[in-house]
Amino acid sequence: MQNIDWSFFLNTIPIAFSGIYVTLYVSIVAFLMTIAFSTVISLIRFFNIFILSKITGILISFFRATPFIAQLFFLYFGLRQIFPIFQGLSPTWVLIIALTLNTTAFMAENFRAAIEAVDIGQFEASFSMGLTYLQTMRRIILPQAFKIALPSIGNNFVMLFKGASMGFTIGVIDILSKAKVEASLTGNWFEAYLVAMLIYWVIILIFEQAQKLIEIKLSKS
Amino acid sequence: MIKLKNLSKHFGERTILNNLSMTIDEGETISIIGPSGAGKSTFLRSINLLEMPDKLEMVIDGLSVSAPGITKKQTLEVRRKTSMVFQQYNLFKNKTAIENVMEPLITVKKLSKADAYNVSLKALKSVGMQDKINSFPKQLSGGQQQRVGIARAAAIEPKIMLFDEPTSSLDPESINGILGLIKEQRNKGYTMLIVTHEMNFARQVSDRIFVMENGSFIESGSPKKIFDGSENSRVKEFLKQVN
Repeated sequence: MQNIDWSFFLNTIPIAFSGIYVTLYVSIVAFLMTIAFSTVISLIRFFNIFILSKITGILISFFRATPFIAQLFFLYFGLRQIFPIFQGLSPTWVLIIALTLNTTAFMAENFRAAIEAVDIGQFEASFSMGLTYLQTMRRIILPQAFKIALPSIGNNFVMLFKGASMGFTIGVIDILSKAKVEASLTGNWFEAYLVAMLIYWVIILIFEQAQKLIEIKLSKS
Repeated sequence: MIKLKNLSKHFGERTILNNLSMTIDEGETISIIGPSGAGKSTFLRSINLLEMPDKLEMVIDGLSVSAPGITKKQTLEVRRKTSMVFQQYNLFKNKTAIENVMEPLITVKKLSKADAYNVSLKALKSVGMQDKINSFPKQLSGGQQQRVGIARAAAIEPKIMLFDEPTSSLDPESINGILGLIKEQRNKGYTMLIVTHEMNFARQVSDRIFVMENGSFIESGSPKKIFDGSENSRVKEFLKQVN
């Protein structure tokens, strides 16, 4: 048995932590794109806009049912073989796109369920005043659906944030890959991966606190 | 003035509304009474096209529409001339009392925020809700929510206000307050169409009453005629049952 190398452990913290910018950048950009796409797709599916609804349904099914790592490799290694234009995409952006596609497949369905959970009377009151469909969705329904969907939005962000660590497999230098490099240089695998996991944990704890605050603020209405 | 002609609605084989016609003068208050399932609410909801009728010719404030073939634009125009008070209040849950009243003023009437606020404040004062303007619906009792609902419907000064069983969800002690408030709207000159089960109220507030059964008007006239002088045996039977 090997002793735990605490000084290595402590020294690795700032090194792994320096990967946080990439991890956060990837997560936040992918998350915002996911919210935007999920909103549009959930509306397409809620209103059952025929051909678009069908297409998005198939895409959702596909991206839910296939492993994320396979999607990532397909987008990174596969697409550039057939379409050279994709060679211009950096690993970071391939990761962002893969995370967005994968998380949207889950979040769009959560959003749709949340819209369906809004009381029909809210639609009727809005329509009865002559608000358009768009105004009704934007001002009345989506804010209420967002509140209903908040717990699942939080879950999806946690999944996405952790999923971003898969980027190391295509060369994105994030928290995990910094830790991995330190580990392979010294052989201190235990300490290096422990550091990486603890950093993820702390960030998620902070995120959960923020989510709680938003939930408290929204629970007024 | 609002003119409805040949209003019909079917769900599958079932006839819900059978060739109904009605003319409503400006400032008039009309109540529709009748047994449950007669089609009263569907009739009301056909006027603002929440239910799309199979057949209808309607003129409202100079705008003519006829179903089938009512366009989306016409639907919006009709709705913007009407407002509705719901049995379940249907206040916007994500908005405060005053924001509820302001919403159609801003989005539909295109008032500035400041003007909408002032109009809404006045409307909420007139229904006795000036102390609760910043409360969310879930912080209000049923009676209070319906007060806001009436303020919201009245503030846009519609050509007709539609009341869909406005007191049916309320606890007994709130009912009289709301009925009193609806009478006040009448005195302010609003044109109103009311579906209600409150017979005494209908008698007091209405200029005319329509009795509905199985999708048809079986009798219409002044409250006195309906309640004291009806010769129609089904009307008499219905009134006997509810009294």
